[in-house]
Amino acid sequence: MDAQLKKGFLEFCVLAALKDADSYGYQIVKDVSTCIEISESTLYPILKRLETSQQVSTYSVEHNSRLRKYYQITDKGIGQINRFLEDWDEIEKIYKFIKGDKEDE
Amino acid sequence: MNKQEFLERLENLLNKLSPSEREKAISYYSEMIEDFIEDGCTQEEAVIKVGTPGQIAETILSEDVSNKSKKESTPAKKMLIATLIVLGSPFWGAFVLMGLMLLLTGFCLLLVGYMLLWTIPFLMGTLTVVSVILSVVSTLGSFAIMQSNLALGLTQFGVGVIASGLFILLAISTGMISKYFVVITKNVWGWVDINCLQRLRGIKLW
Repeated sequence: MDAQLKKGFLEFCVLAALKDADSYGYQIVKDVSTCIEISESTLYPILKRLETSQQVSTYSVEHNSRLRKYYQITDKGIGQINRFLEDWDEIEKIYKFIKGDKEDE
Repeated sequence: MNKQEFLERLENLLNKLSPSEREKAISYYSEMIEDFIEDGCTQEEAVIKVGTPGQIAETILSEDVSNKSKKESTPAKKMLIATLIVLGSPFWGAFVLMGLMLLLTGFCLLLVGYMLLWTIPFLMGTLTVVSVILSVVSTLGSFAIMQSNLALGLTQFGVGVIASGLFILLAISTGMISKYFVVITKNVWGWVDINCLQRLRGIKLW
């Protein structure tokens, strides 16, 4: 997929991975990878952006005598997902326009 | 490369970041490697899977720069406001303005001094040009004079030869002095650049 387009989608995919349950870095990469390619190094800046824009919050949990950082989606993050889903009609319209289908034909 | 080496290398590459940002990145990658190992990878495999420290640092630093440039407008605005407050106050404003004027005067004096210095090579250059004209005109002209008055012509020829000699000496010394001045200028500028300008730009030298 086009790199720019993918970059836009990834943020929503990461949010979606946190929608049902809190998760940590390694697990997020695994979950998101089932639908779109993501690496550990691409995830890091995304999580940082989501954290600074307060779409996710973080907390640490002890695991095997080390700390694991968990990410939790905030209301703002859920709002972001919903806004993306609401934009679907518009995205479909763009898709059709690019493809060349005219609606009124 | 084992985990320890990987994290140390990454930490070194991220030394431009604030300690807290650096710590965040280090603990993120440390956690990732641990999780890979827990999932059955060896330490070496885990390190390879998360990527090279160089690439990782590049991604993080490029991201950090874009964040900073957005925030930078606020300190600049604060500086402007602080300057306006100081300049606007009747007491301190006068002092600061006076200081600024003194600085400006000092700068102008330095500039004038520097220009005066260059008048030496300029004067010598002018003399060089004069001497070359004199030598050519005298030498050629002396032949014409010789036909009517031999003694005067010969004297004139001698003047031409002397002028040629002067021209050679002047040309060489002008070239040398100019070079010397350029070297001095470069050295002084280099010193100003390192001690004032780079410090102003926030580059750490020591």
